[in-house]
Amino acid sequence: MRAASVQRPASRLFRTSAALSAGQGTHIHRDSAGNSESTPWEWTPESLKKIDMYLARYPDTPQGKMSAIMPLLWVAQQQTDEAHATIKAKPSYDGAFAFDSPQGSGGWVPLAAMHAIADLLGCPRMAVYEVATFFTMYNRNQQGKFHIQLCATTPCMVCGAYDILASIEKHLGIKCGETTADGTFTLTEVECLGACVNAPMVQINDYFFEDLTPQSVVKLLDDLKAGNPVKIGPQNARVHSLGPLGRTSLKSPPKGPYCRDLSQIPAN
Amino acid sequence: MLAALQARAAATARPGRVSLQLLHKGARGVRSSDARASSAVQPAQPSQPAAVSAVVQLDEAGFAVLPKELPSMRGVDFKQELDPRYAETIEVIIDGHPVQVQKGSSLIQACEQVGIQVPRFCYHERLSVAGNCRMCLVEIEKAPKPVAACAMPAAPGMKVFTNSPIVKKAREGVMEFLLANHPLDCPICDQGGECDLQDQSLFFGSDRGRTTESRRGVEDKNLGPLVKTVMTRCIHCTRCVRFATEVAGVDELGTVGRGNAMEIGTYVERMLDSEISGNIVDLCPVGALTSKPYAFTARPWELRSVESIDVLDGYGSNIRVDTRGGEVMRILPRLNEDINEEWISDKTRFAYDGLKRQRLDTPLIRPDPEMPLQPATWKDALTLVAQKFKATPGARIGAFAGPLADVESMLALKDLCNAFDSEAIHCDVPAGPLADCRAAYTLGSTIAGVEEADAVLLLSTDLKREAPLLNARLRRRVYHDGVRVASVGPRVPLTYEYEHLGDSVSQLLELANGTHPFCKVLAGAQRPLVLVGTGAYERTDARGVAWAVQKLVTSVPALIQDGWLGFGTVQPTAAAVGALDLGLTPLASSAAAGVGASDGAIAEPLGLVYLLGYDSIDLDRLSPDAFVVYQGHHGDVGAETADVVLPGSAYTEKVGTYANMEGRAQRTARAVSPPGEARDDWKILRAISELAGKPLPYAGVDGIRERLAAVAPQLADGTESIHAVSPDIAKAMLAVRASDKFDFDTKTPFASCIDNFYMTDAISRASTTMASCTKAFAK
Ligand code: SF4
Ligand code: FES
Ligand code: FES
Repeated sequence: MRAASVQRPASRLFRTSAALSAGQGTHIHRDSAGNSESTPWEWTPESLKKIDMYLARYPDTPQGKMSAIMPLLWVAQQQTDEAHATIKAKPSYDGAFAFDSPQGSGGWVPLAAMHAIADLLGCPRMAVYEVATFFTMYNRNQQGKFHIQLCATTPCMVCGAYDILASIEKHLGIKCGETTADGTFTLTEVECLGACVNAPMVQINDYFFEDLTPQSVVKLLDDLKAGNPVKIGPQNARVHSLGPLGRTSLKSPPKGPYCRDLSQIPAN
Repeated sequence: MLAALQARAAATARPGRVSLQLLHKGARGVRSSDARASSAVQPAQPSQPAAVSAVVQLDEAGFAVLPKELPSMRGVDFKQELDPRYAETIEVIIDGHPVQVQKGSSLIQACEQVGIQVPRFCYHERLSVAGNCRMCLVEIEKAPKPVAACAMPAAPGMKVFTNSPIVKKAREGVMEFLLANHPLDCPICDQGGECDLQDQSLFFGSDRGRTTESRRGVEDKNLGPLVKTVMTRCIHCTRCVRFATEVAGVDELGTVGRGNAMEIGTYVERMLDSEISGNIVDLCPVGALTSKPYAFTARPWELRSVESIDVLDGYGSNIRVDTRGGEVMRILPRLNEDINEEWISDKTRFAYDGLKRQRLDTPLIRPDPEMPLQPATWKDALTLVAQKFKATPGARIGAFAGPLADVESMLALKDLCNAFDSEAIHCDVPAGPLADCRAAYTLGSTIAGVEEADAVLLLSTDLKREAPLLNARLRRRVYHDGVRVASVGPRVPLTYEYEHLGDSVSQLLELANGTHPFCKVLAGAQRPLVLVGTGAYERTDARGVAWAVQKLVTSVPALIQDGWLGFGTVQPTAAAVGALDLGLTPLASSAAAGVGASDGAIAEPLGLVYLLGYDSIDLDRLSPDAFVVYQGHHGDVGAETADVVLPGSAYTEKVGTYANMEGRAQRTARAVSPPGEARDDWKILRAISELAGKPLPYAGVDGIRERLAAVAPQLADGTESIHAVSPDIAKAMLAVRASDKFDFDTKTPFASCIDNFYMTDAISRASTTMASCTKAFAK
């Protein structure tokens, strides 16, 4: 028991954020059936094409090549995304579009892929591990078919992210960091995904679903599971990220003085 | 580190051990930070060191009122000696005193040059600057916030404050954050008493913590049988990671995760496979990495330290032997820039438990060839040996000195045998045909000189195992200056890139004839270097190999020039150079050598075989009627075959001279006394001579040193300097006739002289730690 006479002028929070502890698990690799050093890994021809493209962007020195660790990890995640084709994404307004190929968020990087990257770039394996564990964007374990990344950073939190979270948890019967028994959904709490204007939001594989309510998110998950078409972007009537009054500013070209003469810049 | 500080504080309290304990009590009191802290705020004892302030004043909130100014780091005396090598200096103003510091130093180095210790955790002069612990914050005039002294270059006119209130506050803040996640387990932590965090929290720690959260937990990592990890204690200074990647050349260690979840580790379970991994134990400023064999065996303040040198390989590392109650508790490195810098190999550091096992502690006599050895008195054993000396004709007496023999005992052995007309005194060195030329059997370039080489050829050596620290120096050279290294010999990982030219004699011959492309590289270099492993001479065609090496060496003019001897042998044992200096006969091939099969020098089968710590005996070739005397400290192979065993002392128990691979004579020190009835080795030999009626002409240690000075002055002057061979002499001695013809064995590949780094001699073979290393790491 703390003696009453001791004043504590401030107490500080050092809690590990949920994204790191619950969402990503430990930063140590544990061999599992589908993920060990001996698991085979082959790059697909498309991946190899992408790899060539990325490698061309960096200097051909040992140091320079190491810069390609990040894009290559992402290529691996694109390659392992098997759910993409099953998501029937409907753009919610004109000008929005659905991706025709996996972008990466729906996949994961097996240990063997990390090793393949290290071999390819001629760098220590540890260098790849360090990058892969640093960013929450890289999934180092097999995720459920649909990986729900729920943003709970301040703007989303203020707009009710935890209600969304509770609703998902109740509906799926899992907690942050867990995968449903049938392997369909994985739930992760993450930090700001940059759609704060349309908060609260979740990202599921490559798509953002914004302006959620505890009810609409349940319907969304059911639709995904059933393979029904789902609307991407704002789940309400919002267009882009316009406020309720529609477009209120920047309606005409900005008045001068300009820092450079825009008329001199060719169109496109 | 703050050791100076601590020493000062200790000096103001009580002398010696007592004050040290007090200091640490102080440290604990000052920063105990859980709920019980209220009761921990007791008035300090009057004897508490001055630096912690005699009586703790409490403010209204119950916090200790700490002095606004930091205790001055030392009695400020700014008259410093400048290193003449860096003539250029700049003036900076440190704590109001204008001082000259070397140009290009960081602030932390500048402060050090004028004697001010800036507290630090991550900075280490031999590693790259990481700047991540922030403990070294200092104030610079006009800088908006405190800056990290380790990462800030000193600029002319800079006004630096190392003990202002801002600095104090900043460091206290850093300390509080470090302690927020550091467990309060000092009482069960092996680093306790020599922990940088403990020492510095004494000055910058608060008397309680303000966190209400539980500390984070981090899983311990399995780094192998040598390094114990308690990763919750880690403060993420990354010294271990930087050492592993920069010095040791293993990439297995790194930082995974980020932010509060960051961990030091290997990600996948990996042991740290390096011959010098033990150094991360010394580097770790906290108790996260500690020595597994030493765990929970002693506290630093119970230990008595003796400065000595290591003899388990030919490198001659300077060590500190820590003992308690007549027992070696641990071995640590001692700084010697010319040899080991501040590192030692794992065998040097961890083989000490071999000193306590399988020891010979009483004389033994085998009454009958069929019977086991029986304990005997010194008198009986020595008299028996003396009789044998008297009764055996000189031509049938043979002596063999092992890899751990000191120069004094080898000299006494030689003198004894000579007195009985025997010339067959051998040593366990396959230097073969080059045994007469000091330039050839030592490392002519010197150890530190390896870092001046600009093209290196390795022959028949696995440098990483034969001389791990020499390899680390070469690695630095390769990494920083891109020096080209090529090797004819085993294809092994050396932690840097090298050209593997092959492993057969044909490549050597190509090199010797100047037809190999690498000859151009050697010829174009200013300071080329050829390093030969003794494996090259452990072959049936050793003479031919030596001839080819000599031909190669004399064909490249830059290899032997004024001030540079770019040719040398990597001697794997501590006895080698001393033995050859004394003129002992090397065995043609230690692996194949049975007694009596050396160099053709012995015609008759031996009647009396004297083994001075020599264990590589080939029983089949020993004549059945030979009388075998074994003098040594371990019951290894040699002792099992002996008819008489005379217990000698190990290197931690005697003062003995050893010459390392570069020919530098250094002395061990007596840290503990030999077990049981064991005696100093050379004295045993002296006693035999007395009983045999031909007493050696020296009785005391001064006497034998005088004799040594007469025989091999380079070993006796006690200066620990190297007596370089003049280039002209070296050239003359190495010259060969190009027309000579030899039979070469092109089938047998060049191999390293050792196959298991962890077990190379009687001490490391007796060590359980080395046995577990062998299990974990040996191929
Ligand atoms: S384990 Fe020790 S040396 Fe390594 S980062 Fe942690 S505190 Fe530093
Ligand atoms: S806070 Fe949720 S997207 Fe920015
Ligand atoms: S010593 Fe300067 S930041 Fe660590």
